[in-house]
Amino acid sequence: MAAYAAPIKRLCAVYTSGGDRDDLFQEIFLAIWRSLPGFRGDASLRTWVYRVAHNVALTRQARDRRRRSRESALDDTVQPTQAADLRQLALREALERMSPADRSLTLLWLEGLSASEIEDVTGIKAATVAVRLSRIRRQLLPPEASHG
Amino acid sequence: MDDEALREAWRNQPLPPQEELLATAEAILRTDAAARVKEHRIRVVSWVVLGVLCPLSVWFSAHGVTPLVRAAYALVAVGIAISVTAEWLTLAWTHQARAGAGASRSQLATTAASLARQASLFRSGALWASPIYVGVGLIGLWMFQARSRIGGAGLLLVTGAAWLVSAVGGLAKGRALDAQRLRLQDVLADLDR
Repeated sequence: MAAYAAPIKRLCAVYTSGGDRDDLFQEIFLAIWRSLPGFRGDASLRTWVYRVAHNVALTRQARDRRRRSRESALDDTVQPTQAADLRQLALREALERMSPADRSLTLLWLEGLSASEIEDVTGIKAATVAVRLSRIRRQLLPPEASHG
Repeated sequence: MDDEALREAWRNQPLPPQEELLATAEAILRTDAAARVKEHRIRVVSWVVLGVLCPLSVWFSAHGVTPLVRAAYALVAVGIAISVTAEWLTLAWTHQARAGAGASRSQLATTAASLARQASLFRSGALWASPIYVGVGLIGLWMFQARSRIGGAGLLLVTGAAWLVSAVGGLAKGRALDAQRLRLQDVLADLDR
């Protein structure tokens, strides 16, 4: 649990705000706990955990009509005083504006998953993932950096 | 800023404290245990209803004082069996609708299909529960004719009101589940884009 707490927390911060964030965090780990007997080891534990986490987040978003308000991105305890915090905040705001599928792909990419691992998590073909991520990265990165 | 710097900026967040993780783990175990107890209770109650009320209604349908009462109890027996089956189906589909460990596209499609089935079951609730309400209504009619006008009228009124409330509730629940399914299908369409 401790190994995946940080990435799951980051995912929760994008999909929810305030108290809902703790609820989603708990809901994801509850789903992991319930799905654990079905883990056969044919996928890596990391992609398996991300699958459950993203499925819970997407299903919850569909279930919960309340949408996160724009200003709620600033409700964190993070005080954006440093450049890294500002980058993080800008990233979070960009993620909130994305469609659910793009958001999932971007989050998985930011967590360091390869295109084939993202295919394993989402079921979208690796080639399509690469094309979509290339478009997303152009939006997130300045033009000169996205070619690097 | 390049890809790696972006990823680094994203991952540069403090780990949740150990106490928070322990509290979450405890809450998960509590929630899971409570859900299991609740499901166990539903199953026990439905078996008791099926094992006691159904045979009792069948007995009354064979030995009732008038043909009207016998027909009423026969309808109630059928209605109880249908209701218990519907409860079990809802439970099974609720399990299927839970987010699991499948790849998102197939998992969300499974969830959407389960939601569609649940919505249809709830929408038609007034129809499949009708044998119970019609049966109890007929008993009310018999009471009105043969025993007590006030008692009979009261039973008819309460049965009608309960039928109406369950129909409205079922429609509302069905609509809510359909709306949730449509939002999930939007996400699916977005994944397939």
